Amino acid sequence: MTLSEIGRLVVWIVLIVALSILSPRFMDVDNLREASRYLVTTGVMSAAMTAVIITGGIDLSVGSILGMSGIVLGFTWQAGFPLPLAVLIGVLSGALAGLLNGICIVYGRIPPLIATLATLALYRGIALAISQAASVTNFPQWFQFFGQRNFAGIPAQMPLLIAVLVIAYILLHRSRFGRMIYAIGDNETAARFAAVPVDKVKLWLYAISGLSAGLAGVALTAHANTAKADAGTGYELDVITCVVLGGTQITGGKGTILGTILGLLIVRTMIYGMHLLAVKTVVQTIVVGVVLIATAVLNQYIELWRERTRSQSAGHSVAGSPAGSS
Amino acid sequence: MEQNLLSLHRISKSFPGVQALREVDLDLRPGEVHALVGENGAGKSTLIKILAGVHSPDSGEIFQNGNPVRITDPIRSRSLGIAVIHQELDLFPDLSITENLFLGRGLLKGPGPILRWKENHKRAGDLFQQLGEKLPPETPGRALSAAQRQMVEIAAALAQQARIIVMDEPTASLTEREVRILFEQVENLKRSGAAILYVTHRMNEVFAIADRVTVLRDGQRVLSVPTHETNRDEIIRAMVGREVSAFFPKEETQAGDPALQVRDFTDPNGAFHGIHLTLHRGEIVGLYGLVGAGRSELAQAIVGLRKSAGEIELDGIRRMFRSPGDALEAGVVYVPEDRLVQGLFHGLTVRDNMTIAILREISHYGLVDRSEERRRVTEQIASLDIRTRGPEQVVSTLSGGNQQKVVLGRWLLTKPRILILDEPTRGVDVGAKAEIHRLMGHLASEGMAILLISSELPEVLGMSDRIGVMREGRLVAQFQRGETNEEQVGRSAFPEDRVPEISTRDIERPSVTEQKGTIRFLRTLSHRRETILTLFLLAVVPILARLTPGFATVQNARDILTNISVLSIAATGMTLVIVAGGIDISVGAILAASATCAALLAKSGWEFVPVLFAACLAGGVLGFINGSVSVSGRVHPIIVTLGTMGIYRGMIVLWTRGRWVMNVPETLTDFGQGDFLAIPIPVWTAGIVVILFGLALRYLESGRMVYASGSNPRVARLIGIHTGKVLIRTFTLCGVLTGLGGVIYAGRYGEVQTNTGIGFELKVIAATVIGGTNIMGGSGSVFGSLLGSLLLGILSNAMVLLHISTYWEGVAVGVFILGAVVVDTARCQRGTGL
Repeated sequence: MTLSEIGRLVVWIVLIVALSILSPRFMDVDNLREASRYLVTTGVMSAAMTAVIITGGIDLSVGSILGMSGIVLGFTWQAGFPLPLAVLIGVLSGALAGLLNGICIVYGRIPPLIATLATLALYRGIALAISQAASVTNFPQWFQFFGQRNFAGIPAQMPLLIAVLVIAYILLHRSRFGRMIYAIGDNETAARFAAVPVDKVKLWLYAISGLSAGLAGVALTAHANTAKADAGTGYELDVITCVVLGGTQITGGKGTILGTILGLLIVRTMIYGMHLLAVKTVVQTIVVGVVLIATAVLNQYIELWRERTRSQSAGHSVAGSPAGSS
Repeated sequence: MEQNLLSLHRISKSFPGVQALREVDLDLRPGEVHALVGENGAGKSTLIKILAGVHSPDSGEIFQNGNPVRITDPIRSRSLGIAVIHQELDLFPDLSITENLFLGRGLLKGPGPILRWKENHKRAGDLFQQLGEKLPPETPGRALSAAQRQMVEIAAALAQQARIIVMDEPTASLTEREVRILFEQVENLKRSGAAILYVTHRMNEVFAIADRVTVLRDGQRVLSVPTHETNRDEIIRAMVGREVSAFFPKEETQAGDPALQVRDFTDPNGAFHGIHLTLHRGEIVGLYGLVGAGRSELAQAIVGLRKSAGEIELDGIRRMFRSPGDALEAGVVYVPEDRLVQGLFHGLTVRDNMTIAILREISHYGLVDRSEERRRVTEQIASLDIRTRGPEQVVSTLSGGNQQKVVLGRWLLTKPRILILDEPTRGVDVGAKAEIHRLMGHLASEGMAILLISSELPEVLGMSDRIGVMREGRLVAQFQRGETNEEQVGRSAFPEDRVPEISTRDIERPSVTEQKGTIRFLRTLSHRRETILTLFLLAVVPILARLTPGFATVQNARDILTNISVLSIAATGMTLVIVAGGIDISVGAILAASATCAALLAKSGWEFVPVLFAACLAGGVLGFINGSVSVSGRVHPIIVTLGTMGIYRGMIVLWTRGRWVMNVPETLTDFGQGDFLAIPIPVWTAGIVVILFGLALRYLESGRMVYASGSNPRVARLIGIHTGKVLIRTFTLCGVLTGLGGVIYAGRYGEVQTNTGIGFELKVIAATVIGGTNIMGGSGSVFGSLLGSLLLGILSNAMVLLHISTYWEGVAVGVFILGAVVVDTARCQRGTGL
């Protein structure tokens, strides 16, 4: 565990302690269990977003993909398909949406920022157009169980989150794919020179991000027992906050899954605590916004400080070399 | 020595591992052309960078007119009257030549701050007349050829009244004719009393134009004489003459079978032509040449980093590598020239850097075998003798020589059959250099075929079994080991007296009169977006009128225009922000905030004007926060405005306690719903805003600075523009304008809901981007954004009239943004950031 991860763990523990003092109901097992259900949607998307941001990109459309895949799920089921198949189609629609993002970014050469801002509107529009603002409810018992009940004491959706986090960890920190992601994020030019298939990696990456939003859409639909077009609105703020709070640099090249997990825990614990203290939901949104900006700024300054000390200890700065002398 | 305009005395400069300059003296006298020559790596560019204020000398002094000075940064350099004319683009691609010359440096104005375009263009045109070139001054920087850009930089130096002009390889991309014109300009400059430092490797130019010549070798001044007292041979000897040291131990080996054969290799962009090259097993072929000879481009084309025409045969089999991955699989690898930009992953460890190319080999089912990885890395570190604390050290903390070894190690781990090394010992200390050379010899003796690209003659002569010399894209000479010496090789690399042959460059570049046509076409192209939009709208209207009777009525037209009034006002603000290089996705929240503010204040009895003022102020404050947090916190505006979007919205809900604000009083509704001369007031407001800001961006220098900041922030700072302040101002103005929109909104609808403005930011960005504003910054127009708003307005209106569900609007907005950006990106091919 790195120093910054330990720091975040400490912050989380301090937060837990403070909140349990402020609110006696904090440590109540039932409350905790209910609160942890909300970890799943944000957590699943944060895992993929970590990788996206490490490459120096961003995906603002995850909230819209979440809503769209929920609608695809609901309406496919309503049209008569068996629910498991509808779930699969819903998740795949998310992956396809992500792939489209990737195509715009790689082949259309559209900066990820504006591409995913545009698809944010596009996918939300598709969700609205398919559903005509109608919603689908009353899913079968087993689906509701998945969304709202417990399995061996923990929320039934937890295994999904844990599985995703484990896979994300393996992919990012143990696999070839992960190495290439860090390389692209650190220096895309050098990655191309080093024979890394940058374009293919990016296409896969954005498809995976879409897939994660598709999974989140299924999870949310099960939890709420409703598929509606405006589901997931604004979730990109939460997700990006967790990732940035976890120490991932917006500029790319740095970040860990463990950091994101800690970021996720801190954010959701804050929101849980505020909920218990009867703080209005709007204030929660404000707090998340403030946290995002504050951590982003802090991350920048810490990185600057680190670079300065690193170059001092090495005795020279990278900038002063005669590369390109004639 | 008052007769010297600028005098450098015992200047030394070292970088980690290499002494770039060693006690160099240089005098620049008025009205004199002083040529500076030397091989690659001799120290010329370091000297230029010191004059430009990019580097500071470790020791030594600089005197100007006898007074000691310190050139601390580029701005100081310019203020001392030094102008450096580079080969790279130091211009604003989106701004006209006139602005590139005079922005921030004396644009003519009057009355007041209003720019006098006609006169400014004329001034630029006159300057070009002097230089013998006819170039429409309105041409944007990006439309200029390399030669023309250089001419602009020279003109800028003239305009700046620079006294010391440094020209760095100025004829590198010029045709015959252009070189003659350049020489005339240099004569003009001489006559005006300026001192010119002319850096070149072209001997005939030295004798054609220079009064004195100084030769640098290995960072030292070895010769400095008036040109009429020397000759070409003496200069070349001074540049390259040195004993071939004994510590390049390349054993004699029998060259084996041909491993790689390159035939008729030609670059579509002209960097090299008709290259035939063969590499045998166990052989080192040295490729010597000067900057611009095309060697790196050739090597990159061989491994598939560049497209090219020609044939490659690998062990007798025809191949073509479409990517470095292809080449790697075949055992052909390229170690790049610029390790900082093309080689190293600065923030990653030695281990990560080394294994990036062998990931597949050390992985099972996609997972990396850590212990195998560690084994190979440790082995390689040992065999290359890399001085590091261990595989986990971050490479940015290593010295240049060790960094180079890491990159080398990466490629050696792939066990290549053919190794192409591009300047492998550049910026590397003597000890590491010897180690790399020993390694090369060892690898060759084991059967590897090595292509060594190097600009260091001793290295090439000592290491190679065969030497090829490239000059201006062609392979002009080949030598066997032991059959030649430095002078002979050196001489073949230097262009002879220019033979008036027709180079392909002459054919590809159109003459001036043709160019005028091209430039004019390009100009209409840049206006085209607005023309296309207008034509599109004009075409769409009759179609829609045919489809629905309700469309082509006066009432409907009024409705459309009123509906888009808020949008176009906000789009005006967004245009400013995006042109300056930022983006603001919190404008929806700002709209809601200012509308709420206006409504509540009006309801508590405030008069119209104070309400207007307060709402705009509120918007301005919110915009200011966005801008200053981005700039001071150094966080990308998308993250900041993503956060403030949530914060501002939350605050609104808190303030209104979640309730709608209804029954907005007449003070506002008169404004939002009233007419003036039969035209709705909001439409007047929008029209006035668009015209005002459109004019301001065009006719105020501060407006042009917004474009400059977005077009090329680095150069903007060089000429003294504070890009951070510019960005903050645009965010603030965007907030103010959105605030105005909020007042109109509150007045028009008579109520403000909690979800007012949700999704508004997307429409605003869409209108701006459709209208032709480039998302990367630097270009765009307020009028275009108005047309974009009109397009969106007609679209929603048509959807309602045609009974198409408004849910499709989101789809349309998304598609429009994507389409508009694809077109723009294709047009200007700028690098992508976030």
